[in-house]
Amino acid sequence: MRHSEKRAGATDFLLLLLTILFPAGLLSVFKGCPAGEDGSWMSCHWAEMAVLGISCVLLICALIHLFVPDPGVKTGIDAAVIPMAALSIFLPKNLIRLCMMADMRCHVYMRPFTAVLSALILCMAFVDLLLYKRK
Amino acid sequence: MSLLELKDISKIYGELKALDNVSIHVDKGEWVAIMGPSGSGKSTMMNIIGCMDKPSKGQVFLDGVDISKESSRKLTEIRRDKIGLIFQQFHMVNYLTAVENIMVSQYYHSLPDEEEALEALGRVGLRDRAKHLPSQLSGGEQQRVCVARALINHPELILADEPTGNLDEANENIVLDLFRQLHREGTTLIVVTHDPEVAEAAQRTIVLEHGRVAREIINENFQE
Amino acid sequence: MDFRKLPIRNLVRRPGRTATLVLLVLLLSFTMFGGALTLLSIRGGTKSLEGRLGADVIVVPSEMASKVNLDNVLLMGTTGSYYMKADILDQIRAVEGVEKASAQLFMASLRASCCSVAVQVIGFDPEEDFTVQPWITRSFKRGLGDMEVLVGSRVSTEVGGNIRIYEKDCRVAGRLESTGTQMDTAVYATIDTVRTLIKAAEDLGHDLKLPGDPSELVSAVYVKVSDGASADNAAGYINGHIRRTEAIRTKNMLTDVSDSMAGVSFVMTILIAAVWLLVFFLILIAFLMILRERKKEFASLRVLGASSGMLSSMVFRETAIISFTGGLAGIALACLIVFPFSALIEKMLDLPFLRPAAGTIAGLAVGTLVMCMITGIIASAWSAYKLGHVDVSMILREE
Repeated sequence: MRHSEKRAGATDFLLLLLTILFPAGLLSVFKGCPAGEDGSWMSCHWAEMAVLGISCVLLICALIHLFVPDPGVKTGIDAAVIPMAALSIFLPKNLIRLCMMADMRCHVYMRPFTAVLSALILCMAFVDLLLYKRK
Repeated sequence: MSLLELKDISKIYGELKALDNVSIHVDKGEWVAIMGPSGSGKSTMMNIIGCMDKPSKGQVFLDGVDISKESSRKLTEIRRDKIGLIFQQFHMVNYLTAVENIMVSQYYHSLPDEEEALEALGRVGLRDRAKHLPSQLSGGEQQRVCVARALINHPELILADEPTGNLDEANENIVLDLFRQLHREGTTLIVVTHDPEVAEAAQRTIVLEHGRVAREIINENFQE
Repeated sequence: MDFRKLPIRNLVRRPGRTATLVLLVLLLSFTMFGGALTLLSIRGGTKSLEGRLGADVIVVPSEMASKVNLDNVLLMGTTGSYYMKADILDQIRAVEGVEKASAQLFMASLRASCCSVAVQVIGFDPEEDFTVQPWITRSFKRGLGDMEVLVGSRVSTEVGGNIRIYEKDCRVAGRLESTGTQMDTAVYATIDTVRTLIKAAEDLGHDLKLPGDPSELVSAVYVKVSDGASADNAAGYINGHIRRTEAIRTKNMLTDVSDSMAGVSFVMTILIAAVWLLVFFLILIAFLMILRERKKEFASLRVLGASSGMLSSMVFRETAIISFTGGLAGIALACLIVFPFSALIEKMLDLPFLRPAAGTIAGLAVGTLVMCMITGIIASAWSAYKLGHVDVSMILREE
């Protein structure tokens, strides 16, 4: 079966898996620093919220990518996912400040997880784009 | 002038004498069939003529040179340069297309040349099937590709083992016609078969029984 | 078509088998590279610790010594707040064999300007210090002024900016080199600055439970013994004669760190060896299975005129492609995990963690790749030989 005739390939499912893992991880094991005793949030919280927002948009993109068979839509979504994933790599720390100490949760868990997942999603979208372009 | 001569050839596997003091000769440009029932030593003889095995005893002259004592490396070279092989089971490389299967033979011989390979396919009437994989070809088509492959390096001898054994009558005729054409062009053909019809197409038939030459039959009705 | 690409054609033809083999090699290279990188990082961290620990003996209040694990406190840099009388410094200087002694004053802030996390402030005496200073001057060339601080490499405040501690602004004068310990998250100032900060805390109504006036207190005294003198004797003398103090030999503490490093090294080595053996045998078995499956194909190629060398080298090229791809992927994956999550790994191992230089990492990657290739080639050697020397006459006999 030719790739262009396929409804969904391995990259569709991998992309979906990664985009599910992304917000799920951020909300559980890899969340940033907790609120202070007085209930106030530290600066990393806002970076976390921003990344969480992007991760949800990525998840929606992956779902469309999976269910819409049209190759044009698929490549279009790939092209949109790539800059979004790149943005979420640089969002914590570079665009929105994290907490002061590098051994705090936001530095130890949230930022590396965001970087790794974003990088993987970016690569996956890129590979998918290449596969469609080649056909 | 003789192209191939076997002198007192024996091949012994333990107790079994697959070939027992066999002597034959084949002239250049001749078309010879080797017949015999199963276990008569046909395949063993084909292996020895095709440089795929060595005799236990005796001498094999190909083009006047004794090859019976050559190393297996040297035998590979001789096979590559002088002999074109056709098998009952075709033995195509199953992940290469028809034209690529022919080019592999060119590659190991000298240099792959796609144009020439396509011409060879054209000769067997399969130019339009060049990009097909073996699994996409019928048995007859596969065998024709194998004929093209055997021809591609202009061998002095074409050695075919039951070439029509897996083919229907129509395809059998196509292959035999190809052989006739080759014979007219002066190619030496040795065809191992147990099918009398295939043997009758040849100029001469050597019948093997129990590892010995039982008789030789000259085909009076041979048509050029 | 290019027949030198035959091995690639064959690998693409069997995507399942190829992917499995690549994954196996990936596992191998991931374990090797990731394991070795972790080991080197721990070794680097420990080394930097040893190099920086100029003191032979550290003297702390005895109540402190009884409360917490000193190895951790002093070596990993989690200093905490504890105090003793400053005149102890003079008593220590008078001990036989003591060449240099220098006091430090620690303070844990309750809340720094940006985050509700305690910042450890370490005050040292620029005139006499020999433990923090050498490490500081490497990245910071001038003397540290009043209300100026140096921050550890992992305090993410800009140099030139301010850090607010107990409503007092301290100017960040410089950033220190990474050490791989929790000292990287501390803030360094002169003893006088720390005293000002303590005062500021008290003015704000925080009770730091000081046993006296801050100007008469120190937290720890770092001692260097003169050449030929015994650090054990000096520590013993201090423990016997100076009350309410505990003198600890730094060498003993380093031994503990080395011990746990040796433990981690051992586990890693065993792990790498086990994975190597596993992958080696799995590749071996995979190729033995391929051997049976591909005998006919290779016999056909032999019949067509391929020499045994050509066929063996074809198998080796297939293995090399698999090993190279898997090796590279494993290294990439290890990089993707070890580098971003190094802080987490450090936390879990509780050992100083300092990433090796880029050149070392590159060398390690090349070494891993070479090992993967060698493993693959050795594991497939027998099959390559057998396939290269396949008996061509079988092509007829098996019919």
